[in-house]
Amino acid sequence: HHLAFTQHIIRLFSSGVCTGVHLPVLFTACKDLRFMGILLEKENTLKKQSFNYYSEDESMEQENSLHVVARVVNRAFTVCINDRAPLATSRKWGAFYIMGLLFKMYLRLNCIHLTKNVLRAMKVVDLPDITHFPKSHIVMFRYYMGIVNFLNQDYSTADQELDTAFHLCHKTYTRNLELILAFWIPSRILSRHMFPTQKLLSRFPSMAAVYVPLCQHIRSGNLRAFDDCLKKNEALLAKTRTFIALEKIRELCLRNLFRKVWLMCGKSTRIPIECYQMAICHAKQQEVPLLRVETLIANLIYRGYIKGYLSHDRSMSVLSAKDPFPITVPVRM
Amino acid sequence: MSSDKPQWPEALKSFVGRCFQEADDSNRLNVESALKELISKHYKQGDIWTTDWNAIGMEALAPFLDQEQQKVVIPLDKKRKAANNELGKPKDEKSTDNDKLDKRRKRFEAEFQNFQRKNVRSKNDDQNQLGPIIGKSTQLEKRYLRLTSAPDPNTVRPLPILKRTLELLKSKWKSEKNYAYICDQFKSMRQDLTVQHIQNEFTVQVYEIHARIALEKADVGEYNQCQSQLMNLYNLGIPGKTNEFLAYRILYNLYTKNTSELNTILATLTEEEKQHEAVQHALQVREALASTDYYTFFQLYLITPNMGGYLLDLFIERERVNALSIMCKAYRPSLDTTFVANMLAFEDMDEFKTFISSCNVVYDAKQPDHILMRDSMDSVERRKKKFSVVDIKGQI
Repeated sequence: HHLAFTQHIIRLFSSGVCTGVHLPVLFTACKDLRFMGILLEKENTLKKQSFNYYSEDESMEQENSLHVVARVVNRAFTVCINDRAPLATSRKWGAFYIMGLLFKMYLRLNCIHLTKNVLRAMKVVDLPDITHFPKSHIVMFRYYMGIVNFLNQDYSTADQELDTAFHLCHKTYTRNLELILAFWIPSRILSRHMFPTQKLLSRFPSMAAVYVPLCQHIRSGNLRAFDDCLKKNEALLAKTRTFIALEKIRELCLRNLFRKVWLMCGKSTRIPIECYQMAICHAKQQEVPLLRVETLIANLIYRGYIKGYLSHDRSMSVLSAKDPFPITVPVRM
Repeated sequence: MSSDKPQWPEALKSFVGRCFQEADDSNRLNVESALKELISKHYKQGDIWTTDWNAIGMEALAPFLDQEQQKVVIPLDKKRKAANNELGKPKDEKSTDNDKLDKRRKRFEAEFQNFQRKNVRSKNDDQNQLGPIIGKSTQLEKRYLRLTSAPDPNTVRPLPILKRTLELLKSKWKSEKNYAYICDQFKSMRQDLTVQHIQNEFTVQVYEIHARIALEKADVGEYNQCQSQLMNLYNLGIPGKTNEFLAYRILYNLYTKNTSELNTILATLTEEEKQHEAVQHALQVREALASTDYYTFFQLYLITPNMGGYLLDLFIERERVNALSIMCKAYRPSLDTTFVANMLAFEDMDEFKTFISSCNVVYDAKQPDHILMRDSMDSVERRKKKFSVVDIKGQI
């Protein structure tokens, strides 16, 4: 019933009966619809499997109630952005809020690719300057844009979006800030190799619990401790979808470990691979074959963390005389 | 359901529009169903395009109209009706009668695009209301035919027959290895199971076997279909080789680079699942790929359990090129071809030769079996660019 109600409201908007002034009605309708969708989805998880729709072509997706909701809200979005009324009463002001709702749903449904359509539509339409929209809308939008970019492994854009979101968000909304941080910290580490400050983390104990030890281990190149830390928090990180990104951060730890090897060998330009092997075996407490160590070094060279090359025949790494472990490196995935 | 929309002649659309104009609220549903029947009939006869719809009048609908029997309601219609009810009086007063009819006609013309699809659904609702079909056929083998209406029980095989069919197909696959035939037969088996609403261990078995055969033949589309159905069945609590197929899921998502799906899988993995050999292997593959540890990846490739190897085969070339590009950047001055072949897990040197020549590497003039790494870098990078996009069905 709520579905029909919302569809009707959308129709009212599209036919021009409701204008920008009536947006809050639209917002509430859509918001509630989304919650209904989620509730229904939970209820139907058992029911929906019992072939309510039989199709001889089994590749036809079974209609998740949240999918249906998403489609309806999408229509609301189109209505909002395609409005040509004067700015004062325009429905365009609803654009970002509806977009936020849509993104939330797509994330839940695991259809991130659908966000592309929404963003494309946004670019084509002439929306008023984003800073004129209510802050809460902007924060929500930037937050979800950050997540989308993060999941698409575009960490530098994610960093920018989440940076804005964090600073725009009012400091009393700790829960929201925490949510933003959950994605912002890994984005920044991956895109700029910068760690969050103690001051920042101390405000958010749950983040501190994960990242303080993690960053410490990365800095000291303590591979074993890093791996342990990652394993310990695996469940939590997987749930927030940041686990896979954090694995990439492991390379930073590895780089620091190898840098220590270089230091211990007196900053020599020629270091036998066995030295690295010893370090890794010690860190992992197990035998690591030479070829594997070579591969790890090769990867670091490829990504620019190490300047030098490998000689397989001589089982040797030849490092650049000047700055073989450069500090700033453009991140190459 | 096919994704291409059916094309309908303009005359047919106006005929439909006309019917609706004549109909009033009381028998609108009837008219709609009658129209569907009429059109289905012509569709089966194959003369949708040749019939002169302009000449046909409402009387053509008469044989299909049935005032007494309540035809099944199309879901969309229900919503529209509900919306209309909630509209209340004021809205009606605003638009004129003509306006209403116009709108109704326009709505229907738009929905005509979805007609076929909805038609199948409404028939299924009909079916569901009557209950699942009980098959009567005793024919073991049956060709696959896409259904456009309710199936005939005489062509559907009941469960005991299907069990015998499975045994027959298993032995036929072993002896003949005729994939086209087997795939066809399995699809018809799956169809029979679906229309009879049979969802049990046997169903799971059928899908699992078909999935494995599809993998062997690198039929990604068919494998995918089976995998999604299997997930539904497993979620219902029906036992099967869940761990084996979980491993396949992980490997498949590595192939499609679907990180969000992988994240979800990691998030919902249970301790029990992690203990399973195939799942552990798949997780290790994932970890190796995440850090582009090609050495470990290729070692794992050679010992993949079950049919996982076929899944890895789907993207092994992509990974080999990636590995080669890393080696080109890191190693100097050259590498022995045997070393490279071993690293990239080539068991057949001819295969290796084909691969390496497709990368256009540069060889050392003084040592012809050594590849010059720096000089080969550019061509390998170019080769890498060809692997940029993977679509869901597995085509690049």
